[in-house]
Amino acid sequence: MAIIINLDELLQQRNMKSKDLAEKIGITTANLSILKTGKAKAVRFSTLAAICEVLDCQPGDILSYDK
Amino acid sequence: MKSIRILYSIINILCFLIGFHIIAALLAIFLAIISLDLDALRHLATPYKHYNHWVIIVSILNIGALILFFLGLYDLRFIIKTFLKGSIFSQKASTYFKYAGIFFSISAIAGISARIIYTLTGINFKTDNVPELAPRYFSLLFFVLIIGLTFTMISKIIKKSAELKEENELTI
Repeated sequence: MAIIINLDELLQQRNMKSKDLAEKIGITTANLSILKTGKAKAVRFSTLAAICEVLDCQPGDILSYDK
Repeated sequence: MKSIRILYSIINILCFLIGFHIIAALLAIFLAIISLDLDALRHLATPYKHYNHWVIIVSILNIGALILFFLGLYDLRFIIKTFLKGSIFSQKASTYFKYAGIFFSISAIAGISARIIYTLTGINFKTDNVPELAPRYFSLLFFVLIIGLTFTMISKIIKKSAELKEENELTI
């Protein structure tokens, strides 16, 4: 069971850098890196909402489940 | 924080004193072994010294108890060092607590066993040359045992706290 974070693809599609996203959603680049590498234990709804707002997407676009 | 620093200094001094005590005891045993002659062995084998093997067991238990107490104290020193570094809620601190607890508990059990054997066999510490290193009073040994068991319990609490802290830190 694994939750995959598709942030890299979304950032690539929108031609945005990780640093810019981190600044816009108000988290550190280190924390964004933890999120991107799948080391995070949990994601706050507020963080998820901020990412969705900045990237103009749905939570399902960011997260996917791999059996 | 100042009181913890004072405690750290006290434990450092205690570690030095007990370590010195252990080295002196081991040196005494070594000197006793190398100076052991046949007359002494014959003396040990005389019938009226029927509890000689108990003297050896009590001696080993006493020295073992002291060595384990020293190891427990040494772990306690690391615990305080970790606390001063500000990382008390970590798996490392939990391991130190666990080992300190185990060492203190076994040390107390060894000391209590030595006391029980001493009482039952009637060994005389002065005439039988038994190294009297463990605390004389039962209450003190039980206190060390309770401290050891408490440390073991605290190690589990610290382990759980470390897990919760990690989870909290990894919540983005």
